[in-house]
Amino acid sequence: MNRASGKPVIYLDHAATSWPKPNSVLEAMRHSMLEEAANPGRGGHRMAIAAGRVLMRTRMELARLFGISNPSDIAFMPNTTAALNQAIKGLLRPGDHVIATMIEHNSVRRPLEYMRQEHGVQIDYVQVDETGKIDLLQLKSLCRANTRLIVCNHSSNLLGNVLPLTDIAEIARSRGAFFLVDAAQSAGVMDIDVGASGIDMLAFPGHKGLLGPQGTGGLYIHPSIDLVPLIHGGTGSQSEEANQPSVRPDRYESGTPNTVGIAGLGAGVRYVRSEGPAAIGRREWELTQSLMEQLSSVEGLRLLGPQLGEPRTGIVSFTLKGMDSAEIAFRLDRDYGIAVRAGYHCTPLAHHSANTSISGAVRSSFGCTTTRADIEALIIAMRDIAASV
Amino acid sequence: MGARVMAFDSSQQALRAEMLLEERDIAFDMIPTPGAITAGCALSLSFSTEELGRVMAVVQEEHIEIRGIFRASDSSGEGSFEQLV
Ligand SMILES: Cc1ncc(COP(=O)(O)O)c(C=O)c1O
Repeated sequence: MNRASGKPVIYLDHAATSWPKPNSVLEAMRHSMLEEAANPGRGGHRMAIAAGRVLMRTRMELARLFGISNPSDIAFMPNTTAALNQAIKGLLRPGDHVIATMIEHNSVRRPLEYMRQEHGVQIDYVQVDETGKIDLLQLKSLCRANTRLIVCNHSSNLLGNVLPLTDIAEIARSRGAFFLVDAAQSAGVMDIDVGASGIDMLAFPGHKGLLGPQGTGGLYIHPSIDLVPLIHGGTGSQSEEANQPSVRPDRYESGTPNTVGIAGLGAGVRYVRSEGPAAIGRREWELTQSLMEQLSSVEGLRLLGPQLGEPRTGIVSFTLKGMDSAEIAFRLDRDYGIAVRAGYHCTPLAHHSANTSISGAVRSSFGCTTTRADIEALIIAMRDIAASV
Repeated sequence: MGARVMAFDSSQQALRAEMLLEERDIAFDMIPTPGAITAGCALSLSFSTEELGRVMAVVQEEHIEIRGIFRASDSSGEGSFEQLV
């Protein structure tokens, strides 16, 4: 039930942000707001210390989730976009070369293009096929002596396909480049171990698969990497120094943090760890498979991304011949109470690869609260809508 | 409690040390950082001389960044401090 409209909503837009959140997340935020939302690190009184402990506990939960040995190597960020900006702009120098893929989100592509225009960074984008599969041979051949960074998402927010991180990491390592992963669509629904996968930096949202509130996210930075902080300012530490401190996480966390949100994120991560990301992902994958099976028989409907049976995150995007994607999403919402996203999903290059640059696409995406009944409702609605074209 | 004071440059580092010492049942107090120790963080942990070895082991194993571990040079605890680590 969505209280804003007073109508039941079938929420299939988890790839944008997850909703609803577990009760434990709401309770943790309520508790934090009521009892301990002083300014962490800006004072030595007990309430401020309690707020600081909330941040540290959430950091520790995240570290366990991602196989990070030192929680201080995680900096909280307001979202994935901020984390990606910090990683990209904090690392790259004039003359550096970067390799990204054709399915990057604008939160990777735009900072890169900015660095190209303003700071003389060179960029190559690796081709992917229609289903999002990356050309590893081409990736290898694009590496140069000055390749400083390889960046890619773990799963495309349009196609849902999963990238072979370990293979890409191996290429990065052998060429002496750092490897940055955008885990916007995989954090909380796939097992991620930064050490085992050779990930040097991991940008993740708190508000999607980790079930925290909006305004949360983070960046893991390998201890050997020193980034120029994007934001300079008060850290509550080394206040007498004019320069930004080098100590982590303070170096990358100037300004008052989102204490209440981070309390909620901690509860979200605990929930995810108790269920297990792979188990959550497996349930979502099963839902994608039944949806795809049913939708594939709808006249004029084209499914995007990997074939049936292939790995994917809980994302199923499609187009319908003769109808604009925005119109479909509008009708799904108005006539069936189904919330999905339409258009270009901030990833124009991926649309180019999937041949949907003109039509855009409808994206349905699932979370840990999505049920079979939700999927059935979407199937029935799409049969109706297709019959009306 | 403490004849030894561990000071930090970051409150998050101090709070992480707090949690790890608690987990290992090492007795300590959280105290305001003595004015004679210039550290970035207002919180320090104090513990007894006997615990120094175990505390150092935690700091090293867990890569906690500290400003240092100090000993009061005079018995009042208010004067100058000598840095041990
Ligand atoms: C692949 C990908 N990268 C980055 C982002 C940006 O995430 P955020 O909204 O947390 O900044 C998103 C989601 O919108 C995404 O799907």
